[in-house]
Amino acid sequence: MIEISSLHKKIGYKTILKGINLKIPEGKLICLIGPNGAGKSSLLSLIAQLEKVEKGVIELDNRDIRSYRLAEFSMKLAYLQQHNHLDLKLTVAELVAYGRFPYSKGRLTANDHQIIEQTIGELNLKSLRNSFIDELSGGERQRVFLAMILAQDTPYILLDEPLNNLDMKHAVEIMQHCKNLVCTQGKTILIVVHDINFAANYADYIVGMKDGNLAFMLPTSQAIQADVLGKLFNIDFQIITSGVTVMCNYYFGKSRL
Amino acid sequence: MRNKFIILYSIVCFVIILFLVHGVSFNHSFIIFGRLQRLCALLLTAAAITYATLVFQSITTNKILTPSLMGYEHFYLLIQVVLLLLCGANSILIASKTFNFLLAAVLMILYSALLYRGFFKNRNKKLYFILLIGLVLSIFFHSTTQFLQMRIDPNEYAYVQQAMFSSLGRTSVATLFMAFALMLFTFIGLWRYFKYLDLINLGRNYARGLGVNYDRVVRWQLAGISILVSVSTALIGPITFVGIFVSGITYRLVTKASHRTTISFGFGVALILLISAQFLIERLFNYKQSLGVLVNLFGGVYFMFLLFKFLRK
Repeated sequence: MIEISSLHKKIGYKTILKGINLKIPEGKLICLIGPNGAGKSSLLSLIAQLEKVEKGVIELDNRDIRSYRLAEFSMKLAYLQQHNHLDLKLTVAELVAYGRFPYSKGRLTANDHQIIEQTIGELNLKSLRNSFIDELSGGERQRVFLAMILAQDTPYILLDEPLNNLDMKHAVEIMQHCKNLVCTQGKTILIVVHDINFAANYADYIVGMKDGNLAFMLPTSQAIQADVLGKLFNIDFQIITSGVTVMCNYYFGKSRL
Repeated sequence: MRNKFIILYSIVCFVIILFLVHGVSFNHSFIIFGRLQRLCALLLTAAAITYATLVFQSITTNKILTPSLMGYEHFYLLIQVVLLLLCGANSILIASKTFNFLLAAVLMILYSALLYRGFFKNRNKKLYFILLIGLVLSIFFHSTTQFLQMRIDPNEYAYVQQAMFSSLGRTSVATLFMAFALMLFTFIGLWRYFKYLDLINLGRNYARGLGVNYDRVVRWQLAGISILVSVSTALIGPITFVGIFVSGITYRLVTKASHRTTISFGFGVALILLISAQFLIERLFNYKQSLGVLVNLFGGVYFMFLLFKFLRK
């Protein structure tokens, strides 16, 4: 469980996070939504220890994250950043292999190789295996970096907009894969998404953020409601249910209903 | 990849043998000894420049920077000019190669310690900010040197001119040993961070995510790089710029990002460039050219070639 209490964050004179209190349950897929500048990415990078927690506490499995050694932490939690570009002559397989660094420290064992191959297979990257990452398209690169994070094989995974640049087919595949990891391996996955419909159809819980504050944390069925979302994004929503899928229609903008 | 290494190091062996034995018979042991001494200086310089440049480029994630940007070489010239003005050409600090080497190396290491202090102390300072300060300081050193040169006795000016260009003439057995010892200690100190270098390439976020203390590794690497650059500059003069050609050629020919590969390949490239330039100076130009000028000429031609190839596409 990740437990965040009265977390503040300032960049310069601007307060990005204004006292967040949040409990993230284990073994669930949680989507983080909210307008631009709500502090979603800041929250993620604080949990991932990329920035120092200055005010407030974040606990991972009942231990302050600052008390973890970095090497130990990297076996607990993996983080995918928003923008991924590297001008390096690295092949896809080599990059994914870095995901095993916390365990192997550079000397890959047979078990490491097996996990690397498995992850490459699961994300349908077999045909790109030996391509150089600086020659891939944006969407392909996104999936390769995701593969590296998944090869890290940690109980907690934070993904900052993993669906960026992905076409519909791959976006659906990634979300299904995440759902699958949660259901079969009991991983806890926290995803920032901008496409509300992915959150509506895949998440167990939805966390809404606005202006550095926590707006709500609700089970998906309660969060995907016209009034809840309307208040968060300040536009009007229409929720359409068709079979098992839920669609949030917001394309008409504000108050034409 | 393996073939490229075999070809590269065959060329290295060829130039080394050519450099050592061309035009002498084996009873000229004095000449051979002198050449061996110069070869050692070139080996040390090549190792320092290759490591410093390639790792510096990884840290800055920029493949056209060199550590010489931090102003070491202009600072070196300033040291020489100030020494000349204060102590005169006959002073032991200028006349003795050993003292001059030690003084220059220590001052340059102190300079980089001061420069990086802000970066080490304040986590929010970006590396590029420090680079910019280095760049401005190097312009300052350069113009100060030019200003001071005007006040130098024309007879003594020849000494400054000599210092302006890199040359193997200023090495001695003692300075070689000291440089070797300093570099050895530096490389041993850096060795335990070697396996983390490849992760530095991934940037701070991913390196930390994979359990590597990025800030600490970068700090030690920068300290090591500044010692390497200081020592090689104090040993044979301003030559670090060669690193750009070494890294350019290496990245072009090597299709791997691992530092083990790029550094060992770059070392070969640096050796070929330096030794063949020194060979030409000795046999063709009769010691009338400087090492740095000639290597930059090679590298410049290569870059023009790249540029034309790029433009034709």
